[in-house]
Amino acid sequence: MPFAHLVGIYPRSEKVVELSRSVDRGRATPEALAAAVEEDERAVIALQREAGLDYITDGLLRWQDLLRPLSSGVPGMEPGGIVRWFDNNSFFRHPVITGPLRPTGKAVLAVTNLAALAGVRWKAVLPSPFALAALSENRSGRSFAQVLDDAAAVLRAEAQALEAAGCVYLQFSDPVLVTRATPDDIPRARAALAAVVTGLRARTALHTFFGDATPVLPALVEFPVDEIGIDLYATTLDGTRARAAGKTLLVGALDGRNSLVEETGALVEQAMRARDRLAPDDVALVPNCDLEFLPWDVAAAKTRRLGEAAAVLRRG
Amino acid sequence: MNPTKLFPTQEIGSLAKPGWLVRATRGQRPSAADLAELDRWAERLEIPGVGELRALLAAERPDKERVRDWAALFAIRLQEAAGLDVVYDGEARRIEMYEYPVRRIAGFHFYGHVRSFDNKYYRKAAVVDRVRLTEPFHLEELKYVKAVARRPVKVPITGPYTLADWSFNEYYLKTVDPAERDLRRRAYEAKRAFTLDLAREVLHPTLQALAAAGADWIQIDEPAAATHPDEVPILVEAFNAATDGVRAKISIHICYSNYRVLYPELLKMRVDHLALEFKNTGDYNVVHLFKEFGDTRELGLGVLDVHSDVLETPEEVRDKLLAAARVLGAEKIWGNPDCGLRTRTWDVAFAKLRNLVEGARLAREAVGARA
Repeated sequence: MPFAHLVGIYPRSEKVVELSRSVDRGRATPEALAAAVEEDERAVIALQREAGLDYITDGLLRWQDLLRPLSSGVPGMEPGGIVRWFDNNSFFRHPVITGPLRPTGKAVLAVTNLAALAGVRWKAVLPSPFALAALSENRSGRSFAQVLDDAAAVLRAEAQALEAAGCVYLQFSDPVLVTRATPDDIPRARAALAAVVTGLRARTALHTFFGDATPVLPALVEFPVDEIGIDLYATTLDGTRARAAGKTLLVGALDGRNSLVEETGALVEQAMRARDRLAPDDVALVPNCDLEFLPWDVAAAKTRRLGEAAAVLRRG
Repeated sequence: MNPTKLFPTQEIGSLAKPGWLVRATRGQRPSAADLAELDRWAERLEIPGVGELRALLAAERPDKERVRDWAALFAIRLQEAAGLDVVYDGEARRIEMYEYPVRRIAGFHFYGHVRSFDNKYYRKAAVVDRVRLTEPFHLEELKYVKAVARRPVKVPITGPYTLADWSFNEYYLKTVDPAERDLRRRAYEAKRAFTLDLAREVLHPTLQALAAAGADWIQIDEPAAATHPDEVPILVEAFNAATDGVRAKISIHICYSNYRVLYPELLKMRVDHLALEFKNTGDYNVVHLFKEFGDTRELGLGVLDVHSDVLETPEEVRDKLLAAARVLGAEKIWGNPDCGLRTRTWDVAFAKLRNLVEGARLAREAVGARA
């Protein structure tokens, strides 16, 4: 059955933008900022519910980037310098691994608004263990294989803690596999993800973005998750022989990097086109990536449009 | 405008804005510290008549354009005092390199802020109608610089590809043939149409106007050049369209990029000089890319890290210039910072530029050229 949901960090409201700047300049208190963020989280949750999305996030509004809750919350790693976030005009602090990573299961919960998510079917977003390891600078003296094992252990603890807190859907985000991974990386990325998700009850997804997924799609369908996500703004479906049988396909047809709000019919058409070309068991409509690259108002309009398109798909 | 001496030096664009300029543009009075800085640099750069500037700053509503004239004068004199061979005004009048030109082009709309990183944001515009130049920009600042500068001048301007890449694209996406269903190809076609319109309708008339106003050298800034490797043909096509028939020396500045992805397409770009960042990555092997692809154009070698207060020594600068000269020939090599020095204090920027100039002199000495 087709459905829809968000896949990453939601943008900040103009009020939070202004307050966060003011806090950095010593002109507002962190408490005032926290209250405004809480207000935004509740607004984003309400928006998703009104739009009829199937899984709800708190917008990940306390996340400075996809890796920051881990780089600043897990012993053995710390936030490093500013690095360009793939082909965007935005940046992240690359994690610096200084020693063995110690799983705590607390890093992501510390930035999740559980109270606001009470009573809804909520999803969590985490980096895949491969993305976390590949995007980190390893100063620990340990091998990449050891770092990858550590990353998997860290994420398993986070996933278990999130599941215990009520999370019903765990998405692992990985832009690396479709942009800069080598053929040798695929099996170890798969093994690391298996080490994270084995035994979890929550539904699981691997979402790729910023790169063409079709070359690696035959390998991705072997990953031990229920759903696979692709970015249709970076993926050309024409001519591919790849198939997504056995998986639900997350069709990234809503552009998180452009402000033009898609027509409902165009989104539906793209979902059906992906279904026809890749033959998954099922499809879901999602943004191709985080919506944080958009201003707040545009992201809200796109979220509503996503819900409208999913409703059309549901009606068949 | 080709200086006869070897290893000439240039700035890339922006300098930090003095506190007195920032406050005046916000409609605020300068602090005591701002005024002390003003006096210190006026004395150091031997700028007379700053009593007029102080009076301007003390006014209830300061004449912002006159204050900006003074800020431009200070920046020019700083670069001249450092000994650079080619100077400009430190982009004293520009907010920054994106919003300033976009505000002067019809067809854009600003929705709100998007995040750059952490709690840093910028205003990103959407193109919602066909772009149209309302009036050529940078002309007044060029006239002022030409009037007061004692050295040759190079005017920097943001290029069409970067303006397009840093904007949302609404209008041109709607113009793509609806029969094209592939979202990736639709986005590519829309990006090409947007960038070429910026090149032809905005940059080209502006560059023509700048050249007519006496710009001997125009530097086109394209920091986004290598962001999307498959779009390098768009970068080159737009650059050539923007500069077609412009009677001035034309250079391009690209920084913090993987230059390899630009080749061999970059060889089709009609450009006289490429000013690139090297110091940040420390990967001077990029010089070998020029050799590998037979690129015979001038190379502006970034030898100053603009994100560090650590001063590069003249000897280090000399060695980097000489290493590049051994690969490409000394007559092709210029020295410059990696990018604009706006994130450094004027003290650090000045010291770095002085060491750049001294390093170039040492390099000339080493090859037996006249200092």
